[in-house]
Amino acid sequence: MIFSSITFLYFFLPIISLCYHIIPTRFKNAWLLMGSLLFYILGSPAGLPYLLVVLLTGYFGGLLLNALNEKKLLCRILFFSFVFLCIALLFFFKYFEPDSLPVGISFFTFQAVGYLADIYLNRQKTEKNPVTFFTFIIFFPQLIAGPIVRFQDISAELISRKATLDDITDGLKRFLLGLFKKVLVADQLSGAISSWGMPSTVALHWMVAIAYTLQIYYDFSAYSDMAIGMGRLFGFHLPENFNYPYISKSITEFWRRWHMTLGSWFRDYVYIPLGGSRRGIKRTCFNLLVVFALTGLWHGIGWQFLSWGLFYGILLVLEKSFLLKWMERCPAWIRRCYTMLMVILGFVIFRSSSLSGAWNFLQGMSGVLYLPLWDRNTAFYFRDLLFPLCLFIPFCTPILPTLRELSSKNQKIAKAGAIISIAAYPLVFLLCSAWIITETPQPFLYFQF
Amino acid sequence: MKPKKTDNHKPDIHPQTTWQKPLQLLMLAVLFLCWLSVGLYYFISEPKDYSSAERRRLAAAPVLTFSSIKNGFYLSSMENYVKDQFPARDSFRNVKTASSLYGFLRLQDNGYAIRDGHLTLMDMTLNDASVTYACTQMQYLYDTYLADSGCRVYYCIIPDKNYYLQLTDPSYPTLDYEAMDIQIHELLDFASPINISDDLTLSSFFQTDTHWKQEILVPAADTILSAMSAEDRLTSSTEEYRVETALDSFHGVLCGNMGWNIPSEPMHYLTNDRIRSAEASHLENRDCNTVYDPYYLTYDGPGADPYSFFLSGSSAFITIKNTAASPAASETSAAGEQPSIMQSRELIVFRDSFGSSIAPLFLAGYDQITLIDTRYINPSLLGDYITFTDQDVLFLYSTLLINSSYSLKAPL
Repeated sequence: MIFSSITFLYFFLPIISLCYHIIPTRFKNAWLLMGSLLFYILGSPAGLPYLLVVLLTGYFGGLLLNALNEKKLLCRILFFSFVFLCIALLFFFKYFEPDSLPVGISFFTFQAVGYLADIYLNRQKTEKNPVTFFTFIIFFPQLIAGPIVRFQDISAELISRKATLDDITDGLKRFLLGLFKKVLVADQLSGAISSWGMPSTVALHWMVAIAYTLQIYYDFSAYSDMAIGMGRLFGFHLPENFNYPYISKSITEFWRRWHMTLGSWFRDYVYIPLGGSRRGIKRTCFNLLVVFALTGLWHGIGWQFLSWGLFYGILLVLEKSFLLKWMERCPAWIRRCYTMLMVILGFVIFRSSSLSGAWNFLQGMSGVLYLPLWDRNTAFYFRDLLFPLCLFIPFCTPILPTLRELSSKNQKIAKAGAIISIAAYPLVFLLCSAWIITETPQPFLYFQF
Repeated sequence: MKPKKTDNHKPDIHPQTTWQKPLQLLMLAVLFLCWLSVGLYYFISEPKDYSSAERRRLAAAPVLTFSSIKNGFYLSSMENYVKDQFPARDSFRNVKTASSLYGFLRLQDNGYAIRDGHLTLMDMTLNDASVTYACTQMQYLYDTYLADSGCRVYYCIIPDKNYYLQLTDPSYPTLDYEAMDIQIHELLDFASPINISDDLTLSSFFQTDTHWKQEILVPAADTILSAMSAEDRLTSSTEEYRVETALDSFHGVLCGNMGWNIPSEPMHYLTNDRIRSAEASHLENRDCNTVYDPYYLTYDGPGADPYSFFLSGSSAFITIKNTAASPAASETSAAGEQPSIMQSRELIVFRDSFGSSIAPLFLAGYDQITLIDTRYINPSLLGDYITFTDQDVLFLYSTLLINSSYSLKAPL
């Protein structure tokens, strides 16, 4: 089920959230679990058996690891068996059955594996209540595309939480902000890109690459906003997934701001166990390459994803070796341009259906294909999307929080802002509805992972 | 006991909270009302099964079955249903288009644009494969029925309104009409081309529709008739027509497709005794046997389109018989010859919907006109309905169809 669908917005979410706030506290988790199962069954029924396997492996695996805590060898064998089972299934679907990939498989598999790893490493107590554990894994706001939540992040809230009026209103505002970003920004960019067809000029290649870079940010961060917003609606505080990645001054910084929960998952469960940066520069570089190769493969079993991951891995190795020190002498705008250029090139590889497709596209961008630089259609597409781009690009920067902070210092402005928001948020909701009923539904880009 | 106030005392409640709380509640109430009113609408209102604005059937509520849930069909069908039945759907579609064109200042919305007072569907890419496909179908008709029939074969490609929009604004992107023309010319080497692009202008087209206006087609019909006729043939310009109004307020198909209305315009038609008395017979055995079919001006059901006033709209095979004094007879009478020695003149037009409105004007030059639309009849079956011998044959298609021609049926 897509968050930006009428079925979800006008039926599923209101019913689940209204009943949630009415029913007694002791039934709230069970209600959320039931709602989440319904959400998954309706949206991706074919993936249900796999979801159940992951749920049961995570739950009983946790209990077994806890029970056999003293028997280290057995514990290790069991832990790696469970992890192998989950990852093997993930690999199987990604490699052999990519067309019937269960929705959200990469996300909930990683949550379950992370949970088992935390128990195995004694970082986390086993959750004995199946309802609590299952709710943690399949909580519908973040089930499909994250943020990847660790059990310890929300374990206290899973047991006891309260959604205050602030939580509900802030959650709804965050959700509607995400809806706006998805429907009016990401989907609009997606529609523009697909209407352009095969780029026939160098400039159009660049326009596609830049528009896609914006689209994927708005699309994915919109999902995270909606997930975090819905989490607040139910009293949960889910971790942030994005921190304005496009203002980064290096690729190292970019990966601290982009898909933060995946980055921290790989850092804690792969990079650090491999030795992190404590075993010298060569080993650190190797570890980085391994982590980013896996990051690429997490998105899909394809050479383009592996290349995308390794592309960043190599850039991080270069930055760690000498580039960061060298760049520190450059003005900030040069560092930002370098980062954005690499990000745009990276997403060209990421977006392509194959490595050869990516190579062809990069050639088109470079001009070696002797394509015309510009033509009448390119000029039209550029003028068509110019104003939306002028609107969307600034909102990739922290302009909103800055404005909010400035306005909060002045009571009158803050009050006026709050009064406007009474009408603005419902209007945003209705405007998004108008776009949704007119357009073909566009799944979130990260649904395919 | 009240806490003792000090200089550093901060109240437990944030100062903003006192006024924030009612505002928060108000916002929640407004959102809740939105949800409630839409939700209630679905439960109270009777589902509609047809949209006049979009000229299409609306989705019906899906049936909940195990298999429909299992294959994911239930959710997608439900989404289509709730989108189609959304309260004030047409107004919301208008809001969407307005926000796109005037909020985000887009030059087009889903490929639809407003240019020079016209709604138009933009088409920027020449589809070579489609052009080839269309020409292959015409080649099949020629090879199968026309090659040794003694028929004289012509083709005429009707430029769509985008062609004229680019003439006024060179920055307006369109497909490469010149390349299309060259490609067609090479592929249809068995037929003589007729060019009517100079007989039309942007104002020859309805502002809210893709089609042309019949009352402005006399010069184009004249060019076609002149190109096809021998010296003794009448042309439409020698006919006298009256312009009458079929519909005072015509909103074309583009309004519904785009979700946007501009002021409507009247739909006129040309008539005279010859057209009024002509008999049209459809292969589908329709009730109407006249050239103009007023039923479609008021019909508001599936397939409704006021433009179907002309020859009852989509039809596979129509024969129009000229029951007034035959064009041949009138011509020869004027010359003082015996009508009996003149052969009956017959025209066969392979056409798309543009052919419906211009065909009545061909009555000036022919005793019988047969209109064939191979989107609705397989070309292999034509031999069962018509004999091709010594007729004028015209392939009359718009660039819109040629560039998206897969609706033309391929032979069995």
